[in-house]
Amino acid sequence: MMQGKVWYGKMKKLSTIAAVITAALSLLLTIGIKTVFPACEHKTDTGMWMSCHWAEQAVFAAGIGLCCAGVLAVIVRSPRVRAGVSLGMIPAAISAMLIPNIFINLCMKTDMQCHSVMRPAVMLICGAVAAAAAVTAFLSLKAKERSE
Amino acid sequence: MSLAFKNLRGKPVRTAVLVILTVLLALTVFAGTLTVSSLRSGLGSLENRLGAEVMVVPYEATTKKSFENILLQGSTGYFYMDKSVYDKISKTEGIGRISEQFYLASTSSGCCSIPVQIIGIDPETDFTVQPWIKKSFDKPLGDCDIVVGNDLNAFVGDTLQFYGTDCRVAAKLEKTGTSFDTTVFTNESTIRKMIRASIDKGLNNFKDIDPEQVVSCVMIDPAEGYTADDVVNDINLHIKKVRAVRTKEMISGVSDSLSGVSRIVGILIFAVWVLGGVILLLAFTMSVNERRKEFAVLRVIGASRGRLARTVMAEALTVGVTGSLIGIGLGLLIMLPFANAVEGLLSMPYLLPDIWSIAAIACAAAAAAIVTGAAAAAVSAYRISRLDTGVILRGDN
Amino acid sequence: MLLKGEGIAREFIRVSGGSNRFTAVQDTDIELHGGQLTVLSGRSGSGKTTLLNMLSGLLPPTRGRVLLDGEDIYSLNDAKLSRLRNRKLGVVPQGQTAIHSLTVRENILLPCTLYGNADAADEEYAASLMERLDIAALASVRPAELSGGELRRMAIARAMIRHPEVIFADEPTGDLDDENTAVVFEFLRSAAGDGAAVLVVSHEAAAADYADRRLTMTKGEIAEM
Repeated sequence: MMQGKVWYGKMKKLSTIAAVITAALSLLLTIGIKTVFPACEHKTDTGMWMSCHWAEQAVFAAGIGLCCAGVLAVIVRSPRVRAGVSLGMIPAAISAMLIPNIFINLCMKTDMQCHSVMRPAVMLICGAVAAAAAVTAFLSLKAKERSE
Repeated sequence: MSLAFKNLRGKPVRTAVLVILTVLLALTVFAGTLTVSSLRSGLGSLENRLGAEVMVVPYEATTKKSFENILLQGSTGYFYMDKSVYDKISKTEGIGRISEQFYLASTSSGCCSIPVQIIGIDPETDFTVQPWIKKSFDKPLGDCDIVVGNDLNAFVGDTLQFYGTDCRVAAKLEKTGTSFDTTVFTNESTIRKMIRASIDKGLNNFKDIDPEQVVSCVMIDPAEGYTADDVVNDINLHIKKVRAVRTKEMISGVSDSLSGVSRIVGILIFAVWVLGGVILLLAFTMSVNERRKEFAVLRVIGASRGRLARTVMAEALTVGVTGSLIGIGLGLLIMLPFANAVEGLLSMPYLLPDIWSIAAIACAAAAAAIVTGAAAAAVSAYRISRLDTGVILRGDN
Repeated sequence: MLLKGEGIAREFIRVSGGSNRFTAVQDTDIELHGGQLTVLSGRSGSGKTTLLNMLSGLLPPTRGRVLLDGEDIYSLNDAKLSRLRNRKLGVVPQGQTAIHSLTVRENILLPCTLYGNADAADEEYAASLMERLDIAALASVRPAELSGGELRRMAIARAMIRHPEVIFADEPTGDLDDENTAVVFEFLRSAAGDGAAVLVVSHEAAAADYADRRLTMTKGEIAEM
């Protein structure tokens, strides 16, 4: 039998770890979309960007938002606030996940970089962010229950 | 909670290392096997999709490699020869089935389009593409109807424009893992209209052809009693400015690189497997050796020799199952969403096998990792069950 | 209850050192009776531990038989003999013998959990043993944090948990201070009082105070004192 106080501390520590993971994944998304898994890079003949570029920009913007929320969730002390911020990150991450090819069309051929690399990478990482945020929220709420 | 599980939890770092090793083992075996098997089904699919034993194309198309690049590399291009050639070919001895095809590439003008290979078929005679289209679309292709390959970001009902011709997407084909996945198919009259428009707009490299009087490629199956070689030799000997190729020969390059890749993957799997096996063997041996006294104590309080061996095996199996589950999970997360990226990287026909084959490969890879771990631990389990309790207990005093 | 060694002898083959065959215990007859605490002393290397191992079912003798209530324990197969050790024989081995991945409580209950689960009675008995041996506060601590005396007391509780008929203790007070030594001997004494046969290997002078019977061993031969 773990004592209440010990248990509360343990939950809180675990939720901090989960929050750090959430923030790190958000950072990975934000940096990765511009470096490791960007959209197709070449412009078309007319000098315009292809639409997948705008998907990249949108994911980048969403990534910055997720990063800020993620860092906030790490630094706040109140389990209640942490749970709230984390819960808010879940729909944000899912929206970011849907940007490539659902909110913003990607290129014509699915064997191009935006389809073959950017889209699966964004979906996987956003899925992981949503899952990690859900775990953070769950653990924070558990910690909150015991602190009352 | 069993003793084995508590032992694993009691040494988190050692357990993590063992699990990570098993993850790597399962992941390599799974990803490697899946890659080779996808390349195999890609090659099989390519053979099926080419669909004819002999293809006849303009001579320049073979010297410039444009023909092979279109069919095998997924680049776009087009070439034409006079329609009279088709008539000559059809009179050659030993022709079974014969049909013509028309090639065109769309331009990359406009903000969102990328050059796409367009192939026109003659619905009357075609025997190579239609059987395959039929799986997704069982009506004849009407004018301005197109059927798109699986890798094109277009869906049934969409309208795509090629050289000013609005085309309705009538069907989307199944994935083939070949360059046909980015190809648009249409009927003869529609593509002739597009070729005409491309010439009128000055976007076609062939400036002075009459779209009504050309074909790009002739597909042939030899009649019974004749071999593809007979037909190829006959055509190459008697008809000028064209070249007949056996499709088998054309894809021999692909199957050569396939066996090359298979060999490399095989060596890689073997190396990781041997290395992983040896490290697991050492790790289990060390882990059991440093606990010889604990095992002796278990003997003292009444554990049989079998029980000691089972405890060691239970630890190994827990590690093996956990590690291979994570490894397979990771493998699925990498290999399935990034299949197109792998295809691009290998630039070879690459078609994921069906879900049951993937499941079978996953199970086999997990089993291989678990068995390797279990075999590595079995050595220690055997030795610990032969433990001389009396000697160990007095040993360190 | 009677544990009897009939002409038991043990020879070892030395791996190195010239003369290869060496007799650790000469043909020996020994009887241990319920309710009796026997102290066995002797110089190191005289064969005490080998004798104890043979009697406790851990080391088959080269010659002779070990009988527990008339049954030759080495005629049993390994599974049955192990089971018998678990049920009827309690051993406190030399040195530190904790399982490090288990807590003190789990270590003590291990003989019960080895074959099935510890029931409420076992839990209760474990608690009372820890209480009497003054390690109750350490129940959920892992062995790495314990002192030598605490570990030894834990090992004694573990040997006692199944209410064994015969208890063997090999140098149970070897590295303990006087206070701990007294606790251990009193405990073993009371176990004998409850009807168990107790054999203690010790060259502690204090051991004599608790002994019903004293034996001494010299070069593999046993003698009454």
